[in-house]
Amino acid sequence: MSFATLQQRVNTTALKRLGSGTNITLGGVPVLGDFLAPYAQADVGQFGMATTEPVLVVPDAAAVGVLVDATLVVVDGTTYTVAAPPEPDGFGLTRLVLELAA
Amino acid sequence: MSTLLAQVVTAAVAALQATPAVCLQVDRIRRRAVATTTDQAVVVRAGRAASSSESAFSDHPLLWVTELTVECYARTIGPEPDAVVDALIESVYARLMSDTTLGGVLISLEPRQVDIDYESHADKTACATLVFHASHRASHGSFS
Repeated sequence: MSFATLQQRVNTTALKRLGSGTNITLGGVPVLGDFLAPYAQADVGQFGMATTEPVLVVPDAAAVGVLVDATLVVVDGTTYTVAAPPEPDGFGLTRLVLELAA
Repeated sequence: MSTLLAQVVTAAVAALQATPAVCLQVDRIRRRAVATTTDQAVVVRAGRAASSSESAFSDHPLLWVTELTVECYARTIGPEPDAVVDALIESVYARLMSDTTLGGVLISLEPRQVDIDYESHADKTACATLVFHASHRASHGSFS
């Protein structure tokens, strides 16, 4: 088994077992992924504004064709847009930074 | 009796909260981030106060100029936040300039500077920092 195949198998298993479940679509297509939205602080003004930094981690193949400010992601009924260029981590997974969609 | 600095902030906050308030949340000297449930907020604080004495006589009043900072925070989803913060800037500025004595507390209130910064996370945020110079007079022996 090649390393790439082993890596893909590990990533898929990890997302299935530890990911955010199956209620995620990327560009209208259901995907396996891990969604997280940790606390963030917007650095505006002297003391900033509390907010979150929503991120979706998906296999590299799922992120192919993603368009910034155009591709929609829906997680448990909440719609986001992909806000920045995809960030492959070099280990078979890609991080997509999201913004809430109007 | 409160000091000049406190009086300026109190008067500015009161002006901005007067019905109709410029926004739902007007704070004085806030030291924490604006909550996620708040779309707009205004924070008023006084900075440096400098005095100029026109006379060497100790019984003559001092003219003080206090730097009054008014931060206008806004967040939005979808469109860029400059339009939202712009509307808040307009409301705040118009309210403070409508009475530059702030109810008789000051000699004058003069706009000096506006800085705006933006950032994006889940939503789009902006803060416009308006700086005014508040002129007021006090006796040599008191900071009130």
